[in-house]
Amino acid sequence: MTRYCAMVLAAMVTIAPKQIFAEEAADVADLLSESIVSTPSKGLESASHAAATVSSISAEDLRRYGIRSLDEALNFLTQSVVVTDPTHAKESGARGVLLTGDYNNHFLVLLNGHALNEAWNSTAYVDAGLGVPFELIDHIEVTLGPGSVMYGSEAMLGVINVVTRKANAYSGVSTVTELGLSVPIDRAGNLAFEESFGRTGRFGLGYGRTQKLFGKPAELVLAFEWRSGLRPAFELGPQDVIDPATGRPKNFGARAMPGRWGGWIHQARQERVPSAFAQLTVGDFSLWLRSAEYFRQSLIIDSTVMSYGDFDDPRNFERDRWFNLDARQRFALGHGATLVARGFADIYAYRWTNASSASGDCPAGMARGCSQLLTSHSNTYGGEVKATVDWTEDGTVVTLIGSEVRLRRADSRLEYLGGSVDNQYQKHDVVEAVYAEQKFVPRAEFEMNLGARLDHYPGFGTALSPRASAGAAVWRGGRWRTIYSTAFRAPTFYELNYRDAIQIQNPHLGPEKVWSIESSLEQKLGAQKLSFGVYYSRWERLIQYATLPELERAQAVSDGRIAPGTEVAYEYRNTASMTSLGVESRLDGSIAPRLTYGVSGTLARSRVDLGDGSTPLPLTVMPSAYGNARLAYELPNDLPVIALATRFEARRYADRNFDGGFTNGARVAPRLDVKLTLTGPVANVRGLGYRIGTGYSFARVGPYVVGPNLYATDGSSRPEFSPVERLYAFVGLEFAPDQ
Amino acid sequence: MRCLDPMNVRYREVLLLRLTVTLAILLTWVAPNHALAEDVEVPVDLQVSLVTRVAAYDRNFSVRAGQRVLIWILVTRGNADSERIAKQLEAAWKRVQFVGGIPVTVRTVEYGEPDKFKERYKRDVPTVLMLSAGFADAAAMVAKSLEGASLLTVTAIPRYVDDGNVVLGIESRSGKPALVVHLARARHQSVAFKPELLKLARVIR
Repeated sequence: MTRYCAMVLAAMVTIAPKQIFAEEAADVADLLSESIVSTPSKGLESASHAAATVSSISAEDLRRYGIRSLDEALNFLTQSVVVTDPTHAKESGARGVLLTGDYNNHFLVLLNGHALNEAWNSTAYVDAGLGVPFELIDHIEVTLGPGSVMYGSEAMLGVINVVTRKANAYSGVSTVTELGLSVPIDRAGNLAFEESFGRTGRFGLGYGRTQKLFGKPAELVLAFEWRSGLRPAFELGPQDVIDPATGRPKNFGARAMPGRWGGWIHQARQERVPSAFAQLTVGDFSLWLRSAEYFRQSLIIDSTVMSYGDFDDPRNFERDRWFNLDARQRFALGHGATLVARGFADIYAYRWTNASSASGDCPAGMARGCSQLLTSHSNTYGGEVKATVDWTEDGTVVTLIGSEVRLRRADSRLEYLGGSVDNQYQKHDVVEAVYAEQKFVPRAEFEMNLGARLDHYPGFGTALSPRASAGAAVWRGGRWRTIYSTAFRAPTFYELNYRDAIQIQNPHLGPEKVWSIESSLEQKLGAQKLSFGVYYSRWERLIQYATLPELERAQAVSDGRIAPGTEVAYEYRNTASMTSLGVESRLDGSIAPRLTYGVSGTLARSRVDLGDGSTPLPLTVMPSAYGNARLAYELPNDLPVIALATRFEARRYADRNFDGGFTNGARVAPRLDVKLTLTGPVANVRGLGYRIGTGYSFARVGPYVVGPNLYATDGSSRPEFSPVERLYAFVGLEFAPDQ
Repeated sequence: MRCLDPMNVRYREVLLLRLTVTLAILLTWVAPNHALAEDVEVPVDLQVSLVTRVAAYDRNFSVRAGQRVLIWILVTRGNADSERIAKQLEAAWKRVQFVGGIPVTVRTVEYGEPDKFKERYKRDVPTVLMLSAGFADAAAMVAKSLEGASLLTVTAIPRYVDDGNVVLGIESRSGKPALVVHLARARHQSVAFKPELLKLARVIR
């Protein structure tokens, strides 16, 4: 760690300003590089003075580094966040913590401050499934650490706020067209050019306009995007499996040999994400709507989405659909007071299908296999009122108070087509919350922030989420900040109501909780900015899939909650806890007028205690050391910007390392990805720009065990790991004559 | 009509919805009619820091300032946003002692009649004029009154610059502060920015 810090400091000294710019130019550039954020306190402030560690990714960086989805932005451009690819929807972690299989419900994802995590399972997507037209994004604010003080449930790892462009930055008609190719991968992780390439396409159309309406300034923004594609062909297996129900080789459908799972995946690799967004602002009133779909076929058997099923069957898929509405009215009340009233609605539908030709995967009587269909819906309607009072009218003592009400409704139904219906429920509740924050800025060099939020859920009662932070200028260009913050995650409708033949329902689950303490130092040296921080977080009452004790299992059998003869039964319980301790640093700046760079790194030590008396274990999937680096150079005139981005993850445990029963465990090698992008204007055509890029991953596999043998079958079993898209290229054209 | 049990969730939903609608109607009624969508997108402290540094790029700044830099903050009386932002600007400027080594004086000026405004301008001769919010309809009149004057006008409402009524705008672009310069307006008001600054700004020619 000492060597790591020394390297960062040495880099800082090396590129410290050597009169590269004139002093004033550096001063102005320094101020213009200061991020303005709105996530930590629901109001505009400089990132350096915010009550949370927050980094901002600009639209310019998204474009110049060839970023095409949120997961790429988080991996290549921000600090302390990792997004991994389990071959279905991608999973996110931060500061040494990633909870695999959580559908990102430990990160709160916002669109213009509006929560996108849906109500049924608190799912949010951090990949193409974000479902927001990508060219519409103005910037992305990534707040690290617990953040329930302002937003309530789910903000345990942090808050990702995607902020869309206003009409003045999106004026006129604009279009983008992008095509991509990725190379197939064989079972050894080698490139296989003779197989079916992955193909992706993206088309976007936008329109923005400002004018006066009813005598008030008005803005209209419309955006639509269609993403569609096929992942590259992957070769997997072979894995030999005997069906325990029949004692014969297991049937994996028409595209696999009996008893043998594996081969090339050609069929089940389609993804599709259409999305649309519209915003109208008139005076102090603003209304936006968003609608999107995220369809993806289930590529392979894994631990989360498809624990069994036919090989390479396009009938196995997941599909999410959303409709969101957000309307807000702002009131300037005089004497430094403003008030915002907001109403919102979120409608969500989820569909999952899984087909298996093996009778062992199906209920009794379905000897030729079965198809399952899970359909779930959730609706949220709510309102929020918040008021800000600047008591001294100079920003030194500012109070924010707010309250929020959400009416939530969810239903779900799991059906064996042509057979039984299971796990069917329809639930609703009302969640109420109040929050307050007090800022003190007694001197320009010092600020303090105290806040708390109280959420009330009818199921488990209340959750209090306090936060305290203090920051001060310690010397010229140096700023210190210490933050204590907390968060919780309410049990989802899914967790509260799930039950099957071997799992009993637990309607008494409580909230997961986390608290964190962190301290950081930020140093500005002209156009360079270095930050270094340490953090410790403790997670408690984590919900996990727990084995039912013998007595409780017997009771559940006797009262009919699980099938007679069940030898091992399960239940969701608040039993696990976790700690994470780490250091993180970041260096950004420019070392010449046309050369910009950024480096970030995190070292973390995390341990999870399952609460069953066993020794705490390191987390799987999440690396203990990771980071990224990037460099962009603007060639003069109409020549392109050349941008190189890299990311690194140290050696890490795969998801089934500790419980898979593999003799030598399941660990994957370090990962290094590089990405090169050229962007620039097309000569003599106003508003036409191009983007060409390619990326390569040195990693051969990802940190997930896949296939029907997720667990070792004997002492010689070796885990098979998830494939990685290793080589890809893309080309795009954008036309925005009025921007 | 079917009676609802007060303990029933459905009853609470209906009650809460009614309360929300009632509150929204009340707020619309009690809010000042002249409230306008003109909140700034860049924190006031950051605006002031930028102006103190950008001023050094105006070749005529020292001559214009003479012995003291007089900052005028122009406010629309009765407009809550305008008054709030003006007060924050005034507080932020009071923390600044010098610009380019010249001492700073700050004054908040209420905008009313164009003729009186012009008269007062001629009397005080400010060095920098910062427009608060609330000038959507009056920015053009302010610009007309200042025709031929030597003055750096600044605003954090970029629309005023886009319309050619203010020399320098401070806007938010991709989550960062950004500068907008209206060159024709700058020429009319004897503001001559150095090319180094124009390279950092969105320039309207």
